[in-house]
Amino acid sequence: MLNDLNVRNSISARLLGAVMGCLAMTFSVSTYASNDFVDVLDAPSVIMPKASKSLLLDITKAGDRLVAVGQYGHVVYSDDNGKSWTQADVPVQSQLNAVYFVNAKKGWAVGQDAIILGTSDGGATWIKLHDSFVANSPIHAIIKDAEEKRVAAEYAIDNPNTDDPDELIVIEDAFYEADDLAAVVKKHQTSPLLDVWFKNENEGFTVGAYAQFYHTTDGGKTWESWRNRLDNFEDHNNAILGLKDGTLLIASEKSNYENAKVKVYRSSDFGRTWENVATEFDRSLYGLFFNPASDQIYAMGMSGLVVRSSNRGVSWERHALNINTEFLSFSGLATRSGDIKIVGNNGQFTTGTANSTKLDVYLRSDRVHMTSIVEAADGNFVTTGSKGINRVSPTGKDL
Amino acid sequence: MTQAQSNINDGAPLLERLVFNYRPILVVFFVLATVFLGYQASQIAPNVKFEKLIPTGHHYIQNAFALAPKGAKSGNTLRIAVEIKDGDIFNKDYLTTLKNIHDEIFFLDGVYRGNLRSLWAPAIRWRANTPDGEKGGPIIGPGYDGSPEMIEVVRNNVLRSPHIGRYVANNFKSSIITVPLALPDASTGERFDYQDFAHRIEANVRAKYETENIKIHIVEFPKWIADLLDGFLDIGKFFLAALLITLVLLYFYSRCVKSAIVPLVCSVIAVVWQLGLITTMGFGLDPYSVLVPFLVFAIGVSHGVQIINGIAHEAAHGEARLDAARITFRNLYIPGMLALISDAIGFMTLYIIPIDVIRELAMTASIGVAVIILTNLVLLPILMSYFGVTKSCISHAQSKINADTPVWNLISKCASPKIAPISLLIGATLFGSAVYFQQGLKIGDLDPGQPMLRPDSVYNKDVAFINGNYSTSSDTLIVFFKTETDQCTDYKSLVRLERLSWLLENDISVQSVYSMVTRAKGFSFDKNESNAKWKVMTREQELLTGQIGVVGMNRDCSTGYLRVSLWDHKADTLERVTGLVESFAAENDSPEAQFILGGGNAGIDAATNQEIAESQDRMLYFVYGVVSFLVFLTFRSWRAVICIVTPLALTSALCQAIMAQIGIGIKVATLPVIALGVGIGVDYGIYIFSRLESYLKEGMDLEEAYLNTLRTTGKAVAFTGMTLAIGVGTWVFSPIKFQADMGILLTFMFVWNMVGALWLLPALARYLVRPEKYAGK
Repeated sequence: MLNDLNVRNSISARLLGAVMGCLAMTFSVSTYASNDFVDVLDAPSVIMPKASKSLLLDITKAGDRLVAVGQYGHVVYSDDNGKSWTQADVPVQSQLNAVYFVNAKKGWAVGQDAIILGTSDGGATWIKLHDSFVANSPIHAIIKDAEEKRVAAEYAIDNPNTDDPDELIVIEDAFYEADDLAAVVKKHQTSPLLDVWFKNENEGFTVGAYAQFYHTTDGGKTWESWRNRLDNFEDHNNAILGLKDGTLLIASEKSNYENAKVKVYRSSDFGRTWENVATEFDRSLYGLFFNPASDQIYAMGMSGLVVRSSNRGVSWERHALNINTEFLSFSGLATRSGDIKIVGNNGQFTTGTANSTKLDVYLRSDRVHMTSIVEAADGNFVTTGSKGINRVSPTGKDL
Repeated sequence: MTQAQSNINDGAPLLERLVFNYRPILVVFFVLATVFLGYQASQIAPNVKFEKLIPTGHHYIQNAFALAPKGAKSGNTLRIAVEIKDGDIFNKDYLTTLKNIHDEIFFLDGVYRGNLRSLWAPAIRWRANTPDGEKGGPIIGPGYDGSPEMIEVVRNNVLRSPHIGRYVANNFKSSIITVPLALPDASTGERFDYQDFAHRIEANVRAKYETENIKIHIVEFPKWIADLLDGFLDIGKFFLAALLITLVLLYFYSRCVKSAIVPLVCSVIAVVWQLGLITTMGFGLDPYSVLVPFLVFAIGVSHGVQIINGIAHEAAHGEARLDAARITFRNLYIPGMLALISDAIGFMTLYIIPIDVIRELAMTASIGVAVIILTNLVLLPILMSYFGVTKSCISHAQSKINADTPVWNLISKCASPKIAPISLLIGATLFGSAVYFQQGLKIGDLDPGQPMLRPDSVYNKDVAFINGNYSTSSDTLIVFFKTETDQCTDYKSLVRLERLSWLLENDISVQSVYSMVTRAKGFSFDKNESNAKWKVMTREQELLTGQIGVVGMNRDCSTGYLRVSLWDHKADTLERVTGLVESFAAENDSPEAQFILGGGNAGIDAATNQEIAESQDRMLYFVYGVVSFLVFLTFRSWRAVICIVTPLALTSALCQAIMAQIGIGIKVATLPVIALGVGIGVDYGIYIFSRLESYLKEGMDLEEAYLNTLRTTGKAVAFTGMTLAIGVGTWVFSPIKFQADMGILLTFMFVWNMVGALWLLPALARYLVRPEKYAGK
């Protein structure tokens, strides 16, 4: 009897051994298969448990649904004010930098390599509308155009039709400008779009690195470059904000020359005409939001900069903070009650009201970089950032 | 006397005649050999090479050897955390102490000074993006004067540095000094003396600076290998303890000084020969082979006991000292040799495990056992034939012969028809429970920290401190990323690497990953005003290559590394994570880029676990197969095989159940236990069965034969179990964790094998052995 048991045990042990052996063999056989490379623009985003807990760059609302986007083509959404999250079907693995919804169903997301995605079901499934390599991308024309101009300018230098030194300098300058432009627009192909705003289901705008600015009137199926409407040669267009009255604002990167001041571009006719607003601020702006309660527009940027405008962006004044901070402020919102919440790097959570003379800066102990914030229906807030989704109280503390 | 001798020579086997007719020559030979080998043994030196502790033949390890960049071998950096109990590190006293320690270490020999890092090192910097561009500087700048204002500057610099969690604890109550060692060039053959270095660090840092308020924690390879070296020779003390306990037991057993000392001396000679032989063969002592003398000693004593037991028995029956020795030799040399050969073969099966220390253990232990055949089966009877036993021993033995033996009477009932089925039922139940309770048995190390050392050792407490307060893990797996020369930064290949990284990051046991991809994204983030939207890998190849620089690749840019930091090194974790990498590689390897598992301590652990998983069943079949075969060869009866081997199988099963229950995994140190336990444990059964057989041949019935067996050899068997258990039981106190684990398990196996032989063997014999078949043979 004992022996029977012994035998049975050893049989099962032998089977186990055999299985182990097989496994070991499969492991040790070096599979040197040639697996084809699938580009991030062609590979669907993979559903992964940590999608909502890793780098997310923007969050918005689609009705009461919260929708956030981030690295590797991640889109996650929540129907319970941020307590639980579902990962959406996305056809690409490109980093998504911004998301915008015109209503509970219709929305767009933009990101790396000028990717533009659209959704009609509140963010559950997405389709690709544009990337910098598709045939009908305006980027091809921009690059081609700039290259042709560069070649022409080069030809002009090589075959000058004048001996006048002044005119020669003009020709030379024209060449350098054409050469620079060609170099800048070439970068459009491999650079990100940084923000998106739609006026309605059909007409919208997206802005991005190296002065990218595109416009659509067919819900994003085709795009036209509007970069020439802005007086921006190569600075990043970091954020775009539109208001119902026709105001459009684009906040940009501070130019890379000495004593440069950051520029805001403004339009009051939904983008048909634009003007430069020269500010007095020496640093880049990353975010824009409107506070209907005080009818003010806020912008925020590097080293804790917060500025506001009471005249639709015509002029801006710096908003004081209770402490000096060198961490950047990235984006923010006005709550339903008109309070101000601004998030940024290194756990920086800035709060105040429309009437505050100074905003309060709170540094979260986890020092997480935060990129965006929304107000959930339950009165709490949801932030995105380098560690993904965080539900926080109105003071920025973890819930 | 002469008459007796010639008589006894007539029917004597050749071996017996050889041994006893040339006694003086043999004694001279033994003396000379002992002097020579004793001299050799005195030259033995501790020798622990890291490579011997790991399965160097496994492809992970081979990959690591082949692909790791020169000079990037792990094990060349010490990490020292300086902790403050009261308050945080941002105060003048703490920073001053830290500076003193930093300077102290700077001037220690063996430190690669240029790369010494702490908050005081100029290379430990902060950086920030400001409107005026990037700014940065040392954490503690040249203007530091200890004033409260400057302390605030230091605090601010730390907050904007990337060093929180790496050089500064997450709770700001300690900071780290990393001490790279100046390892000599391997080609010079010179070796770094880790032990000496660690002792100097202990003396100049821990002893000198640790106070009520300041605590020092020292971790990483140079420290634990030194602790291991310090610890494993401690076991010499235990050898002395085992020797003394055995001597006392031997005396109480035989009541005869000669019978106590002679087997002890013979066993010590065996140990001397064993050590002398392995030194002559060029081996040193390592933490595993240092255990072999215990086994040799214990096995020697247990066989010696059989001999002196027999001699006392014969002497009590009136035989002269030489005849008593000869008769005992004649009775015991076959079972004795058989038992020792099975021991040796049991040890040899360890050779299946492809780890050098274990293979050397197998070899040195086999040599030791072979030596015992000479010292305790040959030398011991010869010596006893000269010295004889004392009168008190004879009278003690005589009193035993005639005395009533209530204990043996009781135990002999195990062979009775009433008790036997009950015993078998209990045995079956035990076996069933053992099979049930060993379900949780795991492969690999189950404790955090350095598994060679005890969980409560200073070293492992220091590891726990650092793991608890920093975001760095001491369990690292390296995945190599092989490309064509100069192609390691190719965008497409790095996208694959990024996909693998992300896959791994989603495993619950992965703390973080680091590679060229991490570097490129971090660089892009830093150079774009710390704007998170730029924390992305660009497909612009030239830009990407520039961002990476030379971080995380080998010199000709044909190999990159993915460093995977794990929360633990449990077997499940390692199996799952390596499985993820293997299956990813199968789906993504291409001629441009292949993903190859390799080094890191977790890689080594994973390789070791795989080797053990492969070896463990093979080793079991092998050791049981060999033992069964040898038993069959001796007794020419499959019934004898079942009677002798079944109790061993029960013990092995119980041992595994205990391992599962008390949380000892199957690992390099515990895998040999079963082979050793079975190999040595079979001795009891062989001695008992051979004696039982001889009484059955005299025509006794089973119960009577068994009672007589117990009265003659039962005590010796019980004593053998005790001496073996004591020999290994002392290991429990070793500072080296695996020696203690082996001690616990071997003690259990030796005791239970003895119990099984005395209790279960007769019960099995009741059903399997037919006395009438033996009677009259």
